[in-house]
Amino acid sequence: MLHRAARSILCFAFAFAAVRQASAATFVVPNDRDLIRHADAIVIGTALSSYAQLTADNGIETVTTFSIEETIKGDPSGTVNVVEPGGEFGQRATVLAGVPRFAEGQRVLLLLARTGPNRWAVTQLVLGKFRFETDVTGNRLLVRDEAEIAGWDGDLQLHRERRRKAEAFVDFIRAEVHGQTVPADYFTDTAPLQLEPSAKSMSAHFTPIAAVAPYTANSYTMLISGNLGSRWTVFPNAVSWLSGTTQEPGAPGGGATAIQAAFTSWDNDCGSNVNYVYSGVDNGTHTQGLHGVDGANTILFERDLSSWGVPPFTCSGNSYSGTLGIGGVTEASGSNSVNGEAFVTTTEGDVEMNRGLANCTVLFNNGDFNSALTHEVGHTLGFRHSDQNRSSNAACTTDASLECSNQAIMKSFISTGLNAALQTWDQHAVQAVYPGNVCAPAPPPPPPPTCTAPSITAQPSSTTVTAGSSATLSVSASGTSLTYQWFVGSSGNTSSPINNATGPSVTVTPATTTNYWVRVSNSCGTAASATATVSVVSGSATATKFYLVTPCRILDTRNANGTYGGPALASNSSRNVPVAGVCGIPAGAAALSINMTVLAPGSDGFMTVYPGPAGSPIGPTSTINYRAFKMLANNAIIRTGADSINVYNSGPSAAHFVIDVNGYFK
Amino acid sequence: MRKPILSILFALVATALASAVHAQSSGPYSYYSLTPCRIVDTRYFTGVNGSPGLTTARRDFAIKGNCGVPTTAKAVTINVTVTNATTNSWLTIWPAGTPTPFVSTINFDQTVVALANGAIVGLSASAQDLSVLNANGSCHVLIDVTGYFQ
Repeated sequence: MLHRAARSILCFAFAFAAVRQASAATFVVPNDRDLIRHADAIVIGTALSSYAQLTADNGIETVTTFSIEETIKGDPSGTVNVVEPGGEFGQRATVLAGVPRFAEGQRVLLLLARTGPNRWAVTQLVLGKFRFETDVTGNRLLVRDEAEIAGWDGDLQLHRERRRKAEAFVDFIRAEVHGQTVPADYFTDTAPLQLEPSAKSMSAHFTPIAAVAPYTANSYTMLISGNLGSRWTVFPNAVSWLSGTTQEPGAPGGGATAIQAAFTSWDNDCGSNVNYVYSGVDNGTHTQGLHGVDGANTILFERDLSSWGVPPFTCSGNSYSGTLGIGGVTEASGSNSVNGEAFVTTTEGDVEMNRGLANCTVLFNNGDFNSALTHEVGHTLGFRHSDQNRSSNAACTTDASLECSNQAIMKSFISTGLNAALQTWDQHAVQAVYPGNVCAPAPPPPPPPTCTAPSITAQPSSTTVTAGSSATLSVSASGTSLTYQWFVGSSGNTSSPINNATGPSVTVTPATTTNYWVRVSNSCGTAASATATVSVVSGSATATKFYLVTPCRILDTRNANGTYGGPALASNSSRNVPVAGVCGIPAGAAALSINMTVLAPGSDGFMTVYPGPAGSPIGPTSTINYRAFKMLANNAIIRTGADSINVYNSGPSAAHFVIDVNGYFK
Repeated sequence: MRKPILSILFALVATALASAVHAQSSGPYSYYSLTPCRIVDTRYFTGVNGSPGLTTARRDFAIKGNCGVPTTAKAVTINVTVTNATTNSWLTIWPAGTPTPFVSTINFDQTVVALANGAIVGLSASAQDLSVLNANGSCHVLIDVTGYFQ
């Protein structure tokens, strides 16, 4: 039963416009004001009946007669005949994408282009048709056929088709037609239309797109005859294509580059066997394109599509809008099957690109021209729009048997920036309809990084600071994804973690000498650093100057016992020497410049002079090393404390000493 | 009679060279006293201010940043102690990175157990800011810092 010939044209339209911005073009539907101004007529009417007829080119077109209820612009009255390509005639059927379709009794607002005597077409294809609907909250709306679902993700936000409040939009059109400029404030937030599935169920079968399995191969195609789509049976042998003698001015290779990009995208899909080959420029004998069967698969540029209500594409600088082109299956006959599913067999495909694209450099440069041709070529392979049903008259999501996507070359309003690259939906489509190869298995995910336990390569160093100063401790460690935590205390003591000290370095300002350590961790281990001690020493907080004094003996232990006299300093003991008020040293002197002599001690040893007061801790320092029975002197500048200094004798026997002063710092 | 004359000449030449090298001066600086703190000990410390002891190769120690000596310090007051000397020798101590000056900071002989001398020495801007050169043999050196100038 499939031997009847089915001459089909799968058409599709892009509507592109650029916001007038200096930056990269943003794609939106041409605005309503421009559509209204360019329409030859605008009517509100109801479809009475329709019939199909043959064209002079032996094509099929459908004439729908509308009863006009109001003519807002132009001169139609009574009834108006709207003629669109495609339809059913005898045993032949044509189904169109991107071309408006009407149901008897449907009440619509139409923006029309005059295509002949009492012959009209909807301007810009589907963009000029609005049907009256009511949403679930009772609002009367005017909506286009384009899929439009609130809440869908991704680029729909840019390409979102908004719904219009019916009365407000019609009032706006009336005002525009009468030359009044009124604000376009008729858009409304969207509630689901009556009879539409809920948004929840839509998204449920919209995401995620998993395997092809639940969807039939036919589900990715346009309806051609009955419930069938069409497909080529030639692959893996080549299907040869020609470009028209009119090239695309300004486009790389006169358009050939974009053709090659489109073919490469479809041919190179790893899971299918499409083999489109570009054979160069036609000899001028194949000029019908989608308008008639001429025995060649052609891609024609700068074509006049006005008979279908499509005005020339407009492009000026970075601003452009309109319909780029139409592509589809020009002839299909006979039948074939793939994986048990029947298809009509495609025998000719054609693409016609609109007039006005010439020298639209921005479009050629940003990759969207390549995407547009890839989309058209996809229609010649039989594919439907990814976001519409197989008849292109309802949202894809209204049919649960269809895979739907808003990110695809085959989306009705093309996503910008794809530059001909097939998306997931496109890959599913071509692999379902043209199975032939097996994609190499995806490379195994990289093994999770092997965790290397932390290892400390440089320990934090102990350091000494004056009270009130800060010290920075640092650790270096090797290992995977390290984290750090510093602690107060000796290594291993986790009782006192330091807040926010979680890096390889920490800056601390201890009031007293304090120990620190750091624990370095990752998912497979920890390492504890050695203990680092920040020693705190007292020191001048302010600058001091040097004052000379006449050299003066402060203390001589050989004298009578007393504050500045004897006895000799016993082994391993200290004594305190007040210094304020002697030898001209004032109270508050910060340091003394002294010469210290040890007088013929009984053994070797050393003495340490250090700041007072009595009982202050003595550090591991020395001031003079003395030798048994020798007289030795050394000079020193020594900080005072509580206006005094301490002297410590390390030697095994008592030793006499003398301290002379020659100046002080204050 | 000729030999003494010759040695006087040599001494004059050496003095002239030394003054030419050390013609720089800077300051004035203020003094900040510190609790005495051992900053170098080639016997017991590890790292840049620790072992090994001195041979006749120059060593550069890090003074600023330790013992409370800030990175802005220009000079330090120190006590230098030598121990374990193998022969009669002397140390020259000077700001790292500048030519070795013709001076001595402490002189000692191999019979001493330990000997110390106080000194004020300048620091260079680099991290290892203080150079110590032992003239003969080997020894250990200890440095205690008691304050700084800046």
